[in-house]
Amino acid sequence: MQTDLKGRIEIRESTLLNVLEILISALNMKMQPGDLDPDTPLFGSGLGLDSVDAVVIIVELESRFSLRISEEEGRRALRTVNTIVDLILSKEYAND
Amino acid sequence: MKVVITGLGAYCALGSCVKELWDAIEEGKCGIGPIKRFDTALFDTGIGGVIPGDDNSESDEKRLLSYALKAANEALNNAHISDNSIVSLVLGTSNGIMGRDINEISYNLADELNLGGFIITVSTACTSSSHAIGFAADLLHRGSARVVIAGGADLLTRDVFAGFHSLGLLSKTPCSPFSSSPGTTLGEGAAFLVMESEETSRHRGVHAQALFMGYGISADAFHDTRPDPGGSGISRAIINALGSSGLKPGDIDYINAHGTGTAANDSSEWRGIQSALSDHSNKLPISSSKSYYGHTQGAAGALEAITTITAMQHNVIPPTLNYTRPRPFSPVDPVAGTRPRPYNTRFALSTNSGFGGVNTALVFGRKDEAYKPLSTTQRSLSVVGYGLNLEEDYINRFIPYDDLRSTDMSAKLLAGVVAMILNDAGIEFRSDECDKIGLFVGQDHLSDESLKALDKSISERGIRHLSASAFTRLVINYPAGVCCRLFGFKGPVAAISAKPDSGMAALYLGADNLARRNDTDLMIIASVDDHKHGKDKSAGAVGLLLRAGDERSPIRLTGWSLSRKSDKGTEEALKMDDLKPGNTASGPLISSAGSPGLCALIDTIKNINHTDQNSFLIRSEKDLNYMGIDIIIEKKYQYANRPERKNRNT
Repeated sequence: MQTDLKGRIEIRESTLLNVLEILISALNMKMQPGDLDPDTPLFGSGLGLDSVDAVVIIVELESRFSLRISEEEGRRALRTVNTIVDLILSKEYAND
Repeated sequence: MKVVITGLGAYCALGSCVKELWDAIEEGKCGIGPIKRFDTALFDTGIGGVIPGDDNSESDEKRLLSYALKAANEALNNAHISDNSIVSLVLGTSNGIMGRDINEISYNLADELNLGGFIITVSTACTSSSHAIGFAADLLHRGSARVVIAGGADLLTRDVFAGFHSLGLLSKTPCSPFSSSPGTTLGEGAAFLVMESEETSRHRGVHAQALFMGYGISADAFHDTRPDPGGSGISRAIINALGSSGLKPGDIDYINAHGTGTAANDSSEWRGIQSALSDHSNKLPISSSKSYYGHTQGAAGALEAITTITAMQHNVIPPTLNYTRPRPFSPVDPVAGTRPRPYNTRFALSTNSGFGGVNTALVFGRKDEAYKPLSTTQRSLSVVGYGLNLEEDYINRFIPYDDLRSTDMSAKLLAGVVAMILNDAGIEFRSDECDKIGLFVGQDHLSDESLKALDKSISERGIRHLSASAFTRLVINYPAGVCCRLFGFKGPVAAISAKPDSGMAALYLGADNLARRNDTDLMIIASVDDHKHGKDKSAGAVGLLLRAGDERSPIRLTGWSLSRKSDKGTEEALKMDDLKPGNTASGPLISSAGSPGLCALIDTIKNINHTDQNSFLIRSEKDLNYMGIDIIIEKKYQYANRPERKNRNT
């Protein structure tokens, strides 16, 4: 039980770092992964991303994690970095 | 002066001439079908308004020229032009031949037709050819041109299709603007109108087919691709168009809307129409002809103008095809149906909007409509600020980098010079004054950086997953759009390309626009070039700020003209202010920044106090195969004590 939880936390942390790095490079943001709070809203008053950025993020995530993200999934997941991580983990470990 | 339209020519998926186009509309035919020219298997949809043709090996360059030639020849024949040497060309294109100088198609076309007038290219994405029609009228009003052929041409290429696909804008079925299922369908083609003064047409013995009443341009200053949801941009364009035609909202009988079919465009356009025309909009038939031939990009404005005029001639209104159920925030009367509706239109509006946040509205009148053209008074112009920017990162001193994270070098260079010019002029404006600030940019090509980013994304991830953000930067007016957004300019915006000097051509058109129209008070004229050419030319941006009606300013812009023979243009420019020829400014130029002419002008202004001379002629001519552009500036008085400018550069 303990090791299982520890393993999950490790996986989540490495995925989070991965997503942060992908966002920063795909969107050309001049910041480090540590500067970005994973609970900051991506759009609106948060990071101020727009619909074109959303397309860029989806395409980038699909090609880096080799998965398909439907429009509906994308709409739900693209709120914060953490919700993106949730989506990727749910897809990657769907069969666990 | 009355501007009349004496010739029409069209070539698109719906027909290879105006008659075929109109017959198809009368029969309720749709020109949209499966695309065969390139493979669409990778995409979620494979339809377009593509011109049939079996020759897949034909180069884009040849194909585009053949479209333009077919439409232009029809228009010239239709107008009974026997002597092409009196004809000028204003051509609008969004893509031109991708990756090459945007004006190539215009010079190729002018060469084929042996045109003897001026050649100007406008590239403002989907409003390109509407801009061209407006500027053609300006050339006629100024008396620079006798007859102008104005319109546009664009191709539907795989890359453009993939770009719209990646942005999720394409419909799986032929687009149905204002109707329940959103999405657009791309198209291609060419369309041209022959325009001249009523006097010239009478002299030539040809009949007017319609009247060109006026036009309006505006910038959204909202987002690089998404229209302002409140529609304030399109509303300002309509208000400016009515103002320049001397009409009231109630005079408009029909609107041929941009109506791309996308959720973002259609609702914002309807809101804009509502706010410009208030209650009158509820009674007004408003249709989109894109349901017939798709979104023909840079040719859309001219093709839709021709559809509007032809419908007016037949005493009908073209419907919106494929319409099923109304979408929220859509016109009360979208003219749903498959057959034109009998209607006696006296005055019609044709609206367009494009990437980069730009809107246009054109007003056409019936040929026999009696109206008195507005008398225009010319306002005096002064140069109130200038700048030359050679550093890509200069703009970062003014604006936090986050705002510019996904932009390119051209946009940064231009934004830098605009910041510099405003700083130099010491101008601070309230937000309600932004509606009257315009930006005309001379620019010949897309940013290399964005072109490379698109190519890289295609080669790495495949065409389906091309970089959406790079694609949205691939319109010539992108840097101008970024500046409007950053600085809040909401007046007329345009990107212009013309040999020998695009910056000077932008200055000619911008000065004329500012002096004759009262919908703009301040106009920034700039030029940008991100190519490094060698030791005497360098990447950069250069520009100046013009103000209308400022009697206190020491430096005036008093003359501007175009010419094909060197002395004549200079004479004309001098005549504007009863001047004697001064000297042509030359001297060591530190940079070209896309426009040696604007650099020379700024150089002259910098040194204006060190000479006793009062008037200066700046002339751009390299080869009179193209044209000469003359600009005259005058020193009204010595300004030894120029007030210190507030420095925002901290």
